[in-house]
Parts: sequence; structure tokens; C-alpha cells
Amino acid sequence: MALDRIVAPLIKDAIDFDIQLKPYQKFALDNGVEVYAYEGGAQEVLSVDMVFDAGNTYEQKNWVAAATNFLLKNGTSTKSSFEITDAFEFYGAHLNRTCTNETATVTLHSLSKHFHEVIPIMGEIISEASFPEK
Amino acid sequence: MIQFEKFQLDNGLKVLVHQDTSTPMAVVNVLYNVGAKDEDPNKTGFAHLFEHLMFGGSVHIPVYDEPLQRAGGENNAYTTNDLTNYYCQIPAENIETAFWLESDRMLSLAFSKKSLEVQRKVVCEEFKEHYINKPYGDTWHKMRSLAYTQHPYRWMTIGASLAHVEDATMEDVKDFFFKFYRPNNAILVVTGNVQTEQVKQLAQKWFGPIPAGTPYERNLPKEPVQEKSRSMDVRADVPLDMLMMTWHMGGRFDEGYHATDLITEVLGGGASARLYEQLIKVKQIFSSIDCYHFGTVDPGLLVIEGKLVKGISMTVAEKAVLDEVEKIKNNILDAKEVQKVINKTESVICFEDMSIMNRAHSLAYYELLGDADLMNKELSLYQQVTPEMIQATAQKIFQDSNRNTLYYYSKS
Repeated sequence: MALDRIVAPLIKDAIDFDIQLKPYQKFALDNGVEVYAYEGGAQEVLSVDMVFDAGNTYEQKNWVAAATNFLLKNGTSTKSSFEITDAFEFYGAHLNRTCTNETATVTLHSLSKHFHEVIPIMGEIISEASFPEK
Repeated sequence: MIQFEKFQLDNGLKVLVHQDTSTPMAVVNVLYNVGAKDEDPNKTGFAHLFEHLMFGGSVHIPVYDEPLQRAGGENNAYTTNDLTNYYCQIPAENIETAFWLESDRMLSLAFSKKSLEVQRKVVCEEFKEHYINKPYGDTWHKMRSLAYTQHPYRWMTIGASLAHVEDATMEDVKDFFFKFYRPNNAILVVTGNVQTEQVKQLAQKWFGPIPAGTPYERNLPKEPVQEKSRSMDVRADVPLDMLMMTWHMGGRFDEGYHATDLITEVLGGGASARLYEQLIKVKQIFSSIDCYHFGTVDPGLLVIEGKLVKGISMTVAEKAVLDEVEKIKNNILDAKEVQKVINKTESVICFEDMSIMNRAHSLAYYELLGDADLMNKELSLYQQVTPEMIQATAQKIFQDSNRNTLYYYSKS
């Protein structure tokens, strides 16, 4: 029988798909921070999001929430802005910040094998940010 | 490590399959071994015009997008100087829809007059919007024709002249299609939640009956070694002066290719790179500056381009860039800086390979280069680059006689 190229192959309708998200793990750190973890795929990479209730709706003055979020990366008690950038870049890692109406987020992307090198810098940015004037 | 299986149909179509069961999706990617470099110098812009025509209906299927979207799929395509690539992502259970659509447009386009007229207008407007009306839009048009005298990289994928697209006839279009869009000039890659046996059966069913074409023998003119530095002055209605320099570099198979890639990272990759740190932050000569390279199959260009801070002269800016270039030629990089750019490259490769879409693009591209498994060897080639290789490559590329400079002045 000749191949019929006019009639489209049968398709499964989108509403008939049974797509389930993979299960996640949940645990808490000693200080009460809740951690959600999810194992994605085969690549040796990871992404860490720290989500704070620190979006625009929590600010008393305009732009404070976004400025705080954005300037986190510009200096800590032990590192200059350049040193922080260079420290992440040395390991090929990226640190991004986003601020929305409700939340302020700090996101780290890194190769899994450099996790132990870059996670302390992320921690330092959160706990030791110096917000330099210049 | 990306695992894949490979087979070939009797009509010459190469098929690669990469299975990943962690996703419910699949990607069907068809790469045609034709880019802007394969165009007739008097009929440029055709490879890209084709990318548009391929969505204008095929011989049995009047509309491409609608049945694909009905099956939950989405698609796009891109054209470079080296290749044209079409891809769709679709739920794996509906993958046959993608085979049906892709094979019909490989069999033959509808070649409707209306489609040609519509897409001709779209492409002409794209040409005007991005390369004529936009500030600095003609930069690459000018730089390519300055740097290349023979090799077809001397024109952009959009085409050397608007007239070439305006004058395209249906005969030209058909000739181009049946010369390049044949199964023996294409690579089909399927990635995602699929089985090799299933792909074999579908590929045979839908692509198997398409007749092979005359094999395309690529025979492009080689660019002669540049012997004297060249430059061009431009004055245009743009907000800031811009300086662009290019140097000829090796092609994809050149032994210095990976070192060259790392040189552009040292100079231009991100906020801790040398040009950004020295010329934007410390000396405040440029408001933006970038360093990158073509990454083309045939010998490409290494590029440094930046916009000058208002009040800074072109001479000062040029000298500042060349000083940085001299540093990388005269002083060997310390191991830490080399390690940084290798780490960054490893990270880029790993993050790029995360999606089944990018894996499909990469497998197709490396198969075009000769062997899809090169994809898995790329990182080790970067890891083998030493500070000495970087210095030697920099000394080879950054010669004044090998340089092309565009001085792009703001009229205001």
C-alpha cells in the first residue's frame, strides 16, 4: 500500500497525557530553613535557589527591595565585588538575583563537582553582605 | 557523555538517535548541509530565504504549523553561513506527526507563488529592519566585505544585497531546493523518550521513499592570507563611536581552534575578563566591549568590538585595545587564569547539553563536522590547552598585517 502523506498520523490529545512530576525530597536545616531537593537529569550540574519573602510588597521605600537584592553581590566583609565575581567565574558558576512583588531570589548555577567550592561564597553573600557605598 | 546510535537509509539520509527517558518529550531535528557560504555570489540570501519558504507548505501538507501544534509540538529553524537547521519538539507519543511533516517538506515544497511572494516580503523587511534601518546595522555587512576578498563568508546570511532576494524567481528557488534539500545532504537526529528500533521504522517509512539527489561537492574558494592591515571609516547617525577589529583565525579543524576560543574568553568572557575589567572599569575608555569569534567551519574571524565613552578619541581607544592584545602576546598567562576559562567552558558545555533540544543540535552539528562523537571529545580538547599554546596562538593571530578595523563614527 502506498504511503498516505495527506492524512495526518493519529495523535494523542494533550488532555489524555498522564504526566507526573518526579517526587522531591524535603528536609529542614538546624536553623529551620526548609530545603526542597529534586534530582533532574543526567548532566552533572545543579541549581540552588534561595527564596526570601523580601519582594516589593515588603518595602517601606520604593526600590529598596530590588536594590538590596541586586547589591548583595557587590561586596562582603571579606571580599570585594570583583573578588566575588571572579570566585564564581573561576568555577564556571553563575549567581543571579531576581526580585518580584513577593519574593527576592538568589540563584546559583554550578557544575556539581564544584558545589563545595561555590556554596560557601553564596552563603557569605547572604550572611555577610557589606553593601559598599561606591 | 552523550550516547547515541547511528544508521543510514539507502537514499543516504544519516539518522542519529539519542535516548533520554527522563522526559516525556522528543526532538526531531533535520540539519541540511547548506549555508550562506554555498550560495551563488550573484544570488545571495537564498539559504536564509529557504528557511522561511520551508514553512510555506509542502507538497501534501498546506500548512506546517497547525497540525504540529495540534499534536502539542513547537518548532523553529536557523540559518548560518555553514548550515540550515530545522527542529521540532513534541510529546514523544506524537512523534510520528513530526516525521510526517519533516519528510513531506524534504520530499518537496509546494512551491506556491503566494508563499514565495509573502516570504520574499518578510525577508526583505527583515533585511531593512535589522541591517539598514537599525543603528550600526550595516557593521557586519561592511566588516565581512573588508575582511574577506574571496571566501563566501564575505556576505551575511541575510544576503549581500537586498536585490538578490527581491529578484529571486521560482526557478531559482526550485533549483536551490533540489540541489541541497536532498536526503543525502541531510542529517536527521531524534532525541528524547524514543527507542532506536521505533526511529528506524519511522525513518524508513517516512524518509525512505524520498529519492536521493546528485551528491553536492563543496568547492569553495580559499581566503588568501592577508598581507596588509585594512581599515574603513564609517560615519552614520548613531549615538556613540564604535570600534571594531577583526583578525583571521583558523577553522573548526585548525589545531589552534580551542586555544583561540579560550583567548576570547580571557579577553571578553564576562565581567571578570580583561577587556571589561581594564577598559570599562579601570580606564573607562569603553562603555561596552566584547571579544568573540565566528566559530565557523572554515577559517573565521576573531572579533573585538566596543562603544567608546563620549569624549574619548578613536586613537586612544584603539591603542588601549592593542595594548591588551600585546599583553596576551608578550606575557604568558598564569595557570589560574587558564584554569578559569577552561572551567567556564566546561560549565557552558554541561549546561548547554541539559536539554534534549540542544543535544539534538549538537549531535547534528558534530555529525556534519564528520563524527557526532566529537561532541564527547570537545571538553578534553579544551583541557589540553596550555598557557604556551594560548600565547603561541595569540602571537599567530594578533599580527597587524592580519587585522581589519572599522572606525564607526557618530555624526552627532
